[in-house]
Amino acid sequence: MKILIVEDEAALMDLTAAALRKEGFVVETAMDYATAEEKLSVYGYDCVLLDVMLPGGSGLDLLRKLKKEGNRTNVIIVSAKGSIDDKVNGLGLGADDYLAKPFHVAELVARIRSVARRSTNAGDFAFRAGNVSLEPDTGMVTVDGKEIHLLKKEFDILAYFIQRPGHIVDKTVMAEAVWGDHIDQADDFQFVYAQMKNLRRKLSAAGADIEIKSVYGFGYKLVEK
Amino acid sequence: MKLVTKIILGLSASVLIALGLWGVVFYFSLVGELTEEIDETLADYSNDIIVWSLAGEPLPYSDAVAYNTFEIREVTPEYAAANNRIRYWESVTYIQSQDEDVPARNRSCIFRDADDRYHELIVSVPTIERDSVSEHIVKWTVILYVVLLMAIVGIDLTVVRSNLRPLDELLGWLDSYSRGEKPGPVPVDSRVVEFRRLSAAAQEAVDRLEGQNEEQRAFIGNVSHELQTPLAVCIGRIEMLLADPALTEHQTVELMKLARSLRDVSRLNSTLLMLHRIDNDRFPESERVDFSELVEEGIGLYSEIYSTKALAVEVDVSGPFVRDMNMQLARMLVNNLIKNAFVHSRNGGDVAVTMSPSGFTVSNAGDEPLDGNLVFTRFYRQSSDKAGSTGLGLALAYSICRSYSLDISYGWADGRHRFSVGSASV
Repeated sequence: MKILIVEDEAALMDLTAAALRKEGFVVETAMDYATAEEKLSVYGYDCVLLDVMLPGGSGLDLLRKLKKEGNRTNVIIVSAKGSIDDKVNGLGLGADDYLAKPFHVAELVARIRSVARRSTNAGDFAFRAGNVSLEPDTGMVTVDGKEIHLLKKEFDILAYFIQRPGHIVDKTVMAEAVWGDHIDQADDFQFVYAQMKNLRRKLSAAGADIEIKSVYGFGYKLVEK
Repeated sequence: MKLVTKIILGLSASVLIALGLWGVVFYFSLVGELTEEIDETLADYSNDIIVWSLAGEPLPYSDAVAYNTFEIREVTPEYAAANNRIRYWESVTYIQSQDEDVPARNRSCIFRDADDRYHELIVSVPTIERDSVSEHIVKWTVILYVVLLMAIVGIDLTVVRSNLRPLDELLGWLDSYSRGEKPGPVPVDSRVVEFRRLSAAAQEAVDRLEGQNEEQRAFIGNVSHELQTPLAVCIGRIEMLLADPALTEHQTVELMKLARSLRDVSRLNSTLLMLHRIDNDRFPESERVDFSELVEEGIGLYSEIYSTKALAVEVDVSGPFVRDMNMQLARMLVNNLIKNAFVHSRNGGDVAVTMSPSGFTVSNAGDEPLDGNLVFTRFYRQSSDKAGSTGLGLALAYSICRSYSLDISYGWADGRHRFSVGSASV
């Protein structure tokens, strides 16, 4: 898969490019509006990571232009956290997904894969790991094609890990993603452990070939057995 | 002391001194003038008597009945030589016609007749009563002083009041400014140069202060904005490193600790950025917010997160508090207050939320009161703060309330911390 990263922050671009290359993607970069416009008109890409704030113009204008020209490239909007306007506008203009900065590189990879799958295989929104598939929009989780029922928090935890397979995730980061930004200063993580225990039990009972392993007491990692 | 009082006191004191001096000088000049006149009369009188006496003419009638009296007696040449000068003195003389002792002015002189015999002539006239004159002068001086004092107070009150009105307006403006309101431009409606300069100076000082505040806020905002990306990159790189299967356990744990610290910095940074955005009204979206729902949501969330603390939670809603505001900020406000109560509660303690249509209060049992003046300032720390605390939660709540003109206050009663939020009148 060939990916264009449009990002004006050199450090962030290098990091993202390195991570995506490691995942086996072909990566090209553009650091301003003009370069991005030129590359998009000359080359074809499977996916564009589009920053909204660009020197020389807005990423949203570029998106508008792409859609007007009938370009079918998948577009993932990347913008600073909390800019809900960007998200609403971007998706309204036909972007395929939205990711807030700062993002976890593993999550970006999962999103790219999901977007690509969606465009080639219409309607398949699911994230997959091993024999487990999770559809974020419908809230359905299947193991080997059989649906299992998860409670809200269990589902959120699984959704978080399935987008970061093989990556060590700090339990505080995961708790923050699932319970919200206000878990700092928590005395302990009993509330995480309790949900995690139930989720693991349900997954293994359904015969899933993935498991969420504890890592050195600091965090977790989703691995295939 | 008010300026008017100070002016009145100053004027009264100087007028008192001036009138006192004036009374003394007036007394002495009056008495001196009178004495001079009387002395001239006495001199003329004694000259007449000496002339008559030397001429052998009959002397005018003189006894104690008359006002003017004289006495001639012969003296020895030795006495005459020893007292050969004119003397004036005062004494008390009995005047029969008035049947009282009156003060009198006397003059004595020595003269020699044709037979070379010496005579001493003493003439007397009644004179003024010095005590009564001075009493009189003191009395009228005091009356003058009182009248002047009343005039001074009256004039002072009207003149000073009317002239100082621009100063009063300026002070009122400064008061409202220091209360944190935005009272508009400094009032300038005086033709008095000094007041115009004072107003201009106040305006300049306020402008400079506002400018500096603005600059400082913008600086913090810009710094936190600029820090966002490098921090995200650092965390991202650590996460990439963590995916390396060649890492030893020790290296992994160290990297995760490093990432945690970086996330703390990042959280602090984004909270600062949030404060900056709230202060600059970057949350224009507004909707009808029912705080009772947010409280229920927050209580549910934190009851789960802090379940091991086994806190007793009580929510008493007599009527929902509803406001038009930004949902994200409203949630942040409620969550910060509730979280604060949960974090700073002892194990087995209790948290209570009471709500009425005019506001709500979050309270929890505590050990000692917090400093009410500092509790809403940035980075105010409590001994019970846990690692990872930014020290900005209550500052954030305060900023949110301020930008929506809500009152937020801290109180300590019956061993409980109470944080109250309400419409400005509550």
